[in-house]
Amino acid sequence: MPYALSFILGIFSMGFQLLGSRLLSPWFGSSIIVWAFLISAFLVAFSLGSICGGWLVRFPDGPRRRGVIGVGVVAVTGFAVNALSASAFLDWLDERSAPLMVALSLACGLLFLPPVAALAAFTPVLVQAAHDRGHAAGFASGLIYCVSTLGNIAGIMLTAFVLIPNLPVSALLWIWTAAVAASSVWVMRCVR
Amino acid sequence: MRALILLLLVGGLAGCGDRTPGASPDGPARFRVERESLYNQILIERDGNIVELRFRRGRKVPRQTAVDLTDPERLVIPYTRTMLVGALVQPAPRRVLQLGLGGGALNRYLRRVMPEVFLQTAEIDATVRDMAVEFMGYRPDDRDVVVIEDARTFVRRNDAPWDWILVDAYTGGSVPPHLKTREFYELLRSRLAPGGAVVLNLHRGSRLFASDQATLRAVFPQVEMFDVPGTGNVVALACEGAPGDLRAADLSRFAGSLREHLEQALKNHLGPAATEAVVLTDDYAPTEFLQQQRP
Repeated sequence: MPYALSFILGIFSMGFQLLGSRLLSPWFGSSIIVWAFLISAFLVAFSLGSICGGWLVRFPDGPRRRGVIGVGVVAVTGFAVNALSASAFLDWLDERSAPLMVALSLACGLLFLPPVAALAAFTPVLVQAAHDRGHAAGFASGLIYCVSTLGNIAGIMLTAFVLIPNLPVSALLWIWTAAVAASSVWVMRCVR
Repeated sequence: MRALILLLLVGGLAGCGDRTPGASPDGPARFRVERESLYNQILIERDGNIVELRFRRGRKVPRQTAVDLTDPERLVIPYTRTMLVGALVQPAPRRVLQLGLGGGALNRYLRRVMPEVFLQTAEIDATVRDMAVEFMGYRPDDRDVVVIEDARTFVRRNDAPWDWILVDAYTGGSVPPHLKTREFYELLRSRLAPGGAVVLNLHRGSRLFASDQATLRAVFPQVEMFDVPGTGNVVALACEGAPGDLRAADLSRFAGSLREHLEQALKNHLGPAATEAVVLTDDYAPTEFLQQQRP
């Protein structure tokens, strides 16, 4: 179960990067500057999420479970905020006429970083869950990162070639929110 | 360390080879220079007085633009002549915004035939501008200003009115999705001076073309299409106001090459834009996929 979940969460995180590029382009264009900020924001989120998740699994079962619930809430809220108010926020930011790089930092940092960091925080939790099910720590870690990366690839391809050509970005953000909510519940059931 | 110094020396010498040809009509009659920018692999080729700018796409190296170094009034690429149809709506533009520089062919032309005009260009690729200056005889100045910026970002952040807005912002063989949407066209419309016109270079041959037309029609009261025979280009002219009869346009006020180009454009007038297609929006603009699909 932890491996399947890891694959699914991988889909959401990198698929969301493509949705993020579509969200930003009306306000910031699609220049290499935009992509540099977007990719960096996701990498920062992966990094922060990993350390937070690693910190979380050190707690005893009860607090760990509550921590995982908190991470799930951050993830779902983060995606819901994107679905509800990303455009309004980007409009507001645009009206402030902040320098491009400042505006991009704020947009990526506030819109994308929290939900993606929360998704990334699930990974160490899932590694621990696999380990708790009797898999050696190194094996569990390797396999989780393998399937997560495969999920990333699937997320990019699915979003680019199936979802964006057929559905509006606003609808996709709501689908993301619902799917991440369901996955978060599944992660909680994984945690002993 | 020695290897590093040697590498730097070799790199420096290779770079020097790039700088020799220049844009002078008296320069070498043939040369070929290739540079990689943040967005494109750009190839400049000179053959006689004609200098072409091409973007490499794998084995293909499609031509983006070309200029005649000895004659700024000669528009070498057919669609650029049709891009002048803005004159049918606003015959005496004072302020022109161009989104996408190319080799600066239209800039050189407009400076020659409309010397009083102020030209502002937004070009995303600094290397394109640099190579246009270095090899294609383009000379920006205080009445012909180029800013290196995404076209939409530039228009959002600058609310000055324009008499003509010329949209020809191709990157990698296609126009980015955010420059194809209803919201973008609404933004352009809001930046038009009274009596102004937006002129766009479009491509037929895919489902995207129908959506281009429908999206323009969703924003502008009048959108007229002009074929560019022998090419895949179709130029769209979008403007405010009730639909008028362009065939009744009085060309007597124009002279020389501009009049010739407008007469030719009117001969290839296709009529109003079609409306039966998906309107592209910021929320839904799968342009890359529509471009792959046959009409």
